[in-house]
Amino acid sequence: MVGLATTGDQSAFDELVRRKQSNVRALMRYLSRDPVMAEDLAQQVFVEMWKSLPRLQTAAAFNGWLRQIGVNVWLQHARKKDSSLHRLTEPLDDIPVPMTDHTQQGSSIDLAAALALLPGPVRLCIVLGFQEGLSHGDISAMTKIPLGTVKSHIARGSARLRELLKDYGASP
Amino acid sequence: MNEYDDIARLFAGEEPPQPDDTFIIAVKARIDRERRRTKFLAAVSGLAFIAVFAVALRFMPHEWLLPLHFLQSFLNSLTGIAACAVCAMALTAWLRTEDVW
Repeated sequence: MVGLATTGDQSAFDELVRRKQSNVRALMRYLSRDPVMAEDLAQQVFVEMWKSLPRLQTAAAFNGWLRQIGVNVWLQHARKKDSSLHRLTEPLDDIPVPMTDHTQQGSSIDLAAALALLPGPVRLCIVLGFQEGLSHGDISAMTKIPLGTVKSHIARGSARLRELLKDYGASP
Repeated sequence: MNEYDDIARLFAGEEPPQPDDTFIIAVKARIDRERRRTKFLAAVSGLAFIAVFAVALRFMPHEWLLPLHFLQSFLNSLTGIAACAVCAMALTAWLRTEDVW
């Protein structure tokens, strides 16, 4: 399928989009705070995939390659809005949690809403680690964030998620 | 990763977005726009190259490019200018049939 798509086969490309859209849309929904923007970015990921497919070396590397495109598209978009993403490699001293209606009222929130309250670099590490199942080393290689910083982001982000989700039905 | 099992379970319990045909249609529409944009940029680059080349030939001392002297004479003539205009119109017509603009 991937091999056919790299040669410009339109139906193979359509089938790839059909099969991979759920993963890419889920990744973008967790990374983006705005669901509409997440759909827009997911579409952009497939446009970038279409542009770069002829340069894909091996079909076996497709999933990781597509994930890397997704991360790059999100980073490119997010850097325009979030200054903390310009210094991805720096550890964060503290993880600020903006006060929203959810936190003010102490009501339960879902996973996506809790993730949206984390800073961009922390959210990126958490989503790649738990949604995509990447190891700390793979996250570091993919995002160019030092391994120690990745571990710190995941440890502190997880702690903050537990705190935010304590009222959530499936919370730990 | 045992210390993070609870967080991993939260992610595993989430329902992924269902495949949606309107998403594929939106992606294809974007790709079509991207194709048109690429063609448009190629056409503009081509026109700019032709224009620069023509101007350079028109004003370059002819002893520099004696083998191209006939081109310089051609561009100095009304026929040459008319030929360039026809080429530009043909290119525009092609771009319109390709739905570039």
